[in-house]
Amino acid sequence: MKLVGFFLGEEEYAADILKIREIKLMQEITKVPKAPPFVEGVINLRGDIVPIINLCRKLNLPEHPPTEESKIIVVELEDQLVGIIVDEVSEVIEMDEANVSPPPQVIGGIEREYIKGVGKLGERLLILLDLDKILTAEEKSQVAGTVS
Amino acid sequence: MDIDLSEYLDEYFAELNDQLDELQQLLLECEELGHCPSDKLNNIFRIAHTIKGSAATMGFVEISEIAHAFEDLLHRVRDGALEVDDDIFKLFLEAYDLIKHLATAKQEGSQEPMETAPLVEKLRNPTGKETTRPARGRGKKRRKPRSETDSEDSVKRRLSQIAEEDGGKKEEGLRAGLSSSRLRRERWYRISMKFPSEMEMRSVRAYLVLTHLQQLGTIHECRPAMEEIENDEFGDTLELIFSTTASREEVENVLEFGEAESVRIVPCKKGTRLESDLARRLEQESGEQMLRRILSGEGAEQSAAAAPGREEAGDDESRSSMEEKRRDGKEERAAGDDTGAGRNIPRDKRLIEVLDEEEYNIVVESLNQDLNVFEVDITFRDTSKRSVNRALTIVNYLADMSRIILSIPTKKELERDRFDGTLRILIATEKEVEQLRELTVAEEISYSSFTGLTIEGLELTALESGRQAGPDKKRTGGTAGHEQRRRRSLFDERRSAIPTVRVPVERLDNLMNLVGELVIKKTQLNQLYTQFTSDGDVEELVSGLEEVMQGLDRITSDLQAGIMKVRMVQIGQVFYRFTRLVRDLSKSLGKEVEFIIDGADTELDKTVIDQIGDPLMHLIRNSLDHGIEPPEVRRKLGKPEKGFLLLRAQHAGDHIIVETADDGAGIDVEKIRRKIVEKGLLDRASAAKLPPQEVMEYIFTPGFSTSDEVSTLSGRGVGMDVVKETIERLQGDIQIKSEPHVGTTVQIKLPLTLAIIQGLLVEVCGEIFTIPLTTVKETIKLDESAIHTINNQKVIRSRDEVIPLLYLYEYFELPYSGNRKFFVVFVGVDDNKVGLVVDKLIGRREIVIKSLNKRFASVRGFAGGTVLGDGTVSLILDIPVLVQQSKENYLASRKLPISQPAVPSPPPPPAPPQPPQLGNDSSGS
Repeated sequence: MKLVGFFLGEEEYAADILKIREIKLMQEITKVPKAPPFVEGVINLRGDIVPIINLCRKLNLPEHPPTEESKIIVVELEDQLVGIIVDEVSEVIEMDEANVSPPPQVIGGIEREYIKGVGKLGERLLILLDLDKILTAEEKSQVAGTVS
Repeated sequence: MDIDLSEYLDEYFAELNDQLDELQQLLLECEELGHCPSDKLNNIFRIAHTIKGSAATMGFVEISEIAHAFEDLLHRVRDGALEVDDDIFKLFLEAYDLIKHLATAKQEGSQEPMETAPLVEKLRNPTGKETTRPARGRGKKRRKPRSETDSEDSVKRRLSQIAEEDGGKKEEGLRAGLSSSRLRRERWYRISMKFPSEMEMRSVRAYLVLTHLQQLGTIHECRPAMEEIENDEFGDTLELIFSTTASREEVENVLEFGEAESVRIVPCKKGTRLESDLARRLEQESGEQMLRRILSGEGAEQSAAAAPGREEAGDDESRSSMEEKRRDGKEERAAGDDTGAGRNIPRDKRLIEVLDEEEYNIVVESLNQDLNVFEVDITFRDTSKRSVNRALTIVNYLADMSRIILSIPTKKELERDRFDGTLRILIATEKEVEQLRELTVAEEISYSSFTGLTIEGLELTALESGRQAGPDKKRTGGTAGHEQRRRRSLFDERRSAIPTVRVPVERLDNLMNLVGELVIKKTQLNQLYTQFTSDGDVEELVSGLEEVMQGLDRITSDLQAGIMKVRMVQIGQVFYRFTRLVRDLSKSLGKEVEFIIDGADTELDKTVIDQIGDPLMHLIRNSLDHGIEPPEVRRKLGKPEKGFLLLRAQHAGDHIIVETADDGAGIDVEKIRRKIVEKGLLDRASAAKLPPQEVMEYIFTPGFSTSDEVSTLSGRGVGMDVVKETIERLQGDIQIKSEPHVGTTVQIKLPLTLAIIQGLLVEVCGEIFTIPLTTVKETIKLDESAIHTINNQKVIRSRDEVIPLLYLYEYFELPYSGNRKFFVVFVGVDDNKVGLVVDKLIGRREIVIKSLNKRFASVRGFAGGTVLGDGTVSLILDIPVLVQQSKENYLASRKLPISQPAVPSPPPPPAPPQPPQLGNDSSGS
């Protein structure tokens, strides 16, 4: 299984490469007033308007101001593109499923349902995120208040 | 034999729905007329037929069965065996309904078997008198002779019966197919079909043709192979060798089923094989291309094989074009069988027009000797060696039985491979034209190599007039006394339909995106231009830029217009849907209504078309239900008993006006006033003061209905508010005019397109927002002293109007920027105005509307986004929503007991105005 590794703060995470459409440099983001707090805004991706999610805020992790290493990972979700902000993209990782162990109850405050497992790569420990779940779960109720 | 049809389902249903729409329209028209005129009946027949065939193909047995029975019934009507009365019309519509119902169910993926037998039985035996299945009209003698449509129909009938073989009708179908063919001798044909490359479902069509051919005879060879076609490995050409005992006409009719662009069917010898790959490759080249290639020495191997005579041509010659060679050829012209050598005769001229004196004399002489003079004109499929040999054979053949007066190219030229695919020969012979044709087309030489053959006889008089018109070679073609000579290919007259393209909306959207980007580029250039001009130097650069800009400007507008046209759809497809609704509804209401549709060919953007149906349906229902009175009431009122309902579309500048008008009871303003009070929307006094037009506006309030009794159709208070909302979402406008006892007219004004609009860019707290320009009434600099506050609602007085203000930074909860200078953009929807308070006006731009992600970025108050010249995104304000919001707040504020004097309060303290006090707690929901 192929993964893309990235950092949120000091912790290294990974997501299924098949979910990821492209990785973009940080760019100016247009705010959307009254959108849910974790929605950073929207960007123009070759003529499409794509919402940008602040993943740290979504996962209740401590936030860091964007750096030069910050990237936007564009994910395809239910036929629509969504960008997520990460602090740094590390590399594409080939991982044997056997090296993935089920998630412990709580990892650094992230809810268990968002985590597919913990992958071991030599000395490194990667938290495998389930982007689909993160971006779909309970958003309906959260966003419902603002969706027309 | 399995081919996965599922991927064609969308296509199939789209077509089916179109056919059903057309069918319904036709049925209703006939009903209106009280009988079925033959043209309409034929059309109905054709549609029923197609539905039957395609349903069978797709495996929808039920639909096919109904359509089949329907068709049988139509057949009997057409043969005069059955009178069309109300019951029959009802049956027609029942059949339509069931097919429609089945289609919808199938489209939604229902697998459940459906009950069709009762209706099928009814269709087969409409009067209930017959006990046996009615004889089918096919074998009977028709009342009046029918032209091709009929024979076509009968073949199609047979075809679809073949397609229905799963339903156990194979035998019957085949028998029908064979009994009508008198020819039992097996004939071989070489068939080649070319499908339009843009045609959808090519491989399925090809496959169908093949399966149907297999029912008629034997396919000996097929290219591409059937297995390949099954796997969708199909370009656009199908070639095969086929033998059958059926008549040629039958074969042609089967081939027609493929709806190919061109079909060639040529008799051939038993045991013929398709050409080798090489020959096929050569065939695909045009004659000229191949000559060029051969002459220039490219692909030596192939050309050596194809044209062994090439060596004769010198190196110099080999690079010259065919035309040059021909001119050169003049010098080597010799007498005898080489007469006519090197002549270059335009195709639109007859040989007889270009004869020289000597040849002309031969013609006259021959005619005087009672010989026939013929002009034989054969067009070959290609210029391959094979065709050259055919041409030579023909020339030799003709030389044996006649005197060749002129031959182009000559025999000698042919022997040297100078051949451009046509052979034109003028001969004098004792034989008659039939004999000649027979001999020429005799299986020996008819082969596959030529696609067109004309043999024209000459008579002295024609010859004379031809000569008189100008006896020398300078004469221009098309002179009097000559029919324009038309090339007839053996099989080219095909039924032509208006070509239509079904464009997937997705593709259109892509194009639209492209255009959008172009527009952005244009804006960027505009900005550059501004920068340069302000610097003042680099004049040259500026003028160059100017030029580029102008060009780009033109291209983008052209492109925009062009794309827009692709998206345009006639509103008729929505309008005609209502004919049935009006018919059924008026019947059930016991009202008589004349329904008139006008301007059905008016075109509107697809997006608008898709959404306009529901609002229109509400309006039509309202007119029928509440507007038009029952006949007895109308009689008492002195109106014609038959009510009048108009549905019309027309252009008005860059807008379209769609209106419904009836001559019914009209809207009772007083009744609405009472309702307003009843519902507690206004107190009695203020309701009484409202001008009639404003009273009318209340019709659009949710839950508002003036109907005393709630019918099953309308009058439940839902409807008009939905209508208004939909229209406003489409950037449109709706107006009602009504007079008691005269009627009601509802006018809907719609923009031609929604995709590209003019926008006003404004800045609020550093964010740039876009306001659709069509909604902007006026912009002013905010004069603090003009602001008043009523119950916390800030309003501004402008030209004797009190207009509520909406501070956008408050509304959107943006951090206050410390700005003290504001502008007001007055925006309006209908007569409701609101002043949007912004920090800065930036300017007007052409913008492309993009939708926002529904899950994360769809926020009430924004209609979408657009990309600005610098590539960033600006959100587009949803003006109807904002106006509605303000209006509600404003009305709420007016309704509150007035605690402060309603007279203008002292000007509020200068900015910053207090954050949200607008009482818009409901804004978030």
